[in-house]
Amino acid sequence: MKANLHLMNKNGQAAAELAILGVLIITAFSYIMNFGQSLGVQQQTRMESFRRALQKAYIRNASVSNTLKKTVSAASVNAGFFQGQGLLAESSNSVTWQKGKPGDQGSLRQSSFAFWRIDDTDVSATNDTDDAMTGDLTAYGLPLNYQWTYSGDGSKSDYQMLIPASVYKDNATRTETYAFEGNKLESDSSSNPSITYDKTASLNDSSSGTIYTHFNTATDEDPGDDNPVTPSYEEAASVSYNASTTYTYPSAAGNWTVPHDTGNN
Amino acid sequence: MSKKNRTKNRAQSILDFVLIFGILLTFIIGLTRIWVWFNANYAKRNVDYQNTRLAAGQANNSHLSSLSYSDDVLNLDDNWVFKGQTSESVGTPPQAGYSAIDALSGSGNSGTAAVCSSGQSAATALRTEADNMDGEADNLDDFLSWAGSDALEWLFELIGVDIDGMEDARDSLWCNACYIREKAAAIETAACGSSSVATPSPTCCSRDYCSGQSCCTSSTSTSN
Repeated sequence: MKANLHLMNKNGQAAAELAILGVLIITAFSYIMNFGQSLGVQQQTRMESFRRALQKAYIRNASVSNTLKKTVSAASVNAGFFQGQGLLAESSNSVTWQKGKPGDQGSLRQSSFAFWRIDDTDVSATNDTDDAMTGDLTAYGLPLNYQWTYSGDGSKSDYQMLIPASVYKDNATRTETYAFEGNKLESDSSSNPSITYDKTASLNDSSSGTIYTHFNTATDEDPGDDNPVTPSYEEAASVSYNASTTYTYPSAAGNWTVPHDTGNN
Repeated sequence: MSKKNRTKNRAQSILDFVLIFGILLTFIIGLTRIWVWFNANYAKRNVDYQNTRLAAGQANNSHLSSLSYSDDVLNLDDNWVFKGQTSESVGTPPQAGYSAIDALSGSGNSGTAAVCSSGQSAATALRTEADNMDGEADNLDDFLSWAGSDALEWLFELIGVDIDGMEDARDSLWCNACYIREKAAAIETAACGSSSVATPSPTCCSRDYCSGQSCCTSSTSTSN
C-alpha cells in the first residue's frame, strides 16, 4: 500500500512537471512569435513609410515629411488567445524631390509639406490655400502656415512661404472588439444524418483620436550665424482621425460536417 | 522499497523523459521553422524593397497610384511547419550592376509631375516650330521641283537666283525640323517617362537631307 502511494506521487510529479514546463514553453513560444511579428511589422512600416514619403515628394514636387502608423495584432500570452495583442508600429521619413521651385507648377509660396497616415487613413486638413493649389486640398497634408524665410546670406524670401505644422500631441484611443460564434447543428435527415460545426470570429481594430499641431513662428533672420533661435509656437488646427480595420476568420463561410451514423442503416 | 518497485519507478522515469523530450523536440522543431519563416519574410521584404528601389526613384506617373512596393508575405502552411518545406522563394536580390532590377515601364530619368507638364508644353511648342519649318521647306521644295529643272535652272541663275543655295536651305529646314522633333521627344521622355509623339525614325542624321548639316556635325547633337 505504501509502495503504491509512492508510485502515485511519482505519477503526480510527472504531470506537474509537464504542466509547469508546458506553460513555460508556451510562454516562450508566445514571446518569440510576438518578437518575430513585431520585427516584421516594424520593418514593413519603415519601408512603406519611406516609399510613401518618396511618392508624396514626387507628387508635391517638394520636401515632405511622412509619418506612418500601423496598428496590428500579434500573438501574445498577455492577451486573448485568438484576439492577440495590439501592436503599434510607427515610422517617419523625410524626402526632398523637387525640380525648380517647390510645389505645384506656377506656385510661388509652396515650400514643404507634412503628412500623417494611420493604417490606410490619411490625416489631412490643409487650411491655408495657395493660388496654385488645385483639387482636393486635403492632399496637401497637415495644416500650412505663411511664414517669411531667409536664405544663408540673410536675404528675405520674396513671398511668405507655406510651412507645414508640426504635431506635438496625439490623443489616441484604440478599441479592439472581438467576437466569436460557434454553432453546432445536428441534422436528423434519414438520408444524410450529420453534425455541422460552424465557427466564425471577427476582430474590429479601431483607432481614433486627435492630433494637435502648432507652428513655430520664430524666424531666423541670419541663418549664417550659429545663434539658435528660440522657438515661438502658435496653435494650429487640431485634426481628428478615425481608422478602423475588421479582420474576419474564416474569410469565407467556414464549417465542417461530420457524417453521423445513426446505426439505422 | 522492493526491487520490483524500484524497476517500475525507473521505467516510469524513462517514459516521462522520453515523453517530455519527444514533445519538447517536436515543439522546438515547429517553433524553429516558424522562426525561420519570420526570418525568410524579413529577407523577402528586403529583396522586394531593393528590387523596386530604382523604379520608385524614377519620375513616373505610376507614383500617383502606386508605391511600387507592397508587403507580400510568404505563405505559412502545414508543409512549412510540419515538413520543413518552403512555400516559395524569397526572391533574387539585386545583382552587381543592378541587372536584376525589375523597373517599371517608362524610362524617365528626372522630373516631377510638374516638370512633366512643363516638358509637354515645351515639346508641343517645339513641334509647332518644326511644323512651320517643314511647311517652309515644302514650299521651297515645290518651287524647286519646277524651277530646278534643267530647262529653267539656267534661266533663274541668269537672273541671279541661287538654286543650289535654295536647295541647301530646304535641306537645312527639313533637317532642323526633324532634329527639333527629336529634341521634343527627348525632352518629353525625360520629363514624363515616355513621349506622346514618336521619335522620328530613321534618325534625322541618317537622312540624306541632313548630310553635312550643322546639327548633325556638332559634337552636341543627339538622336535617339
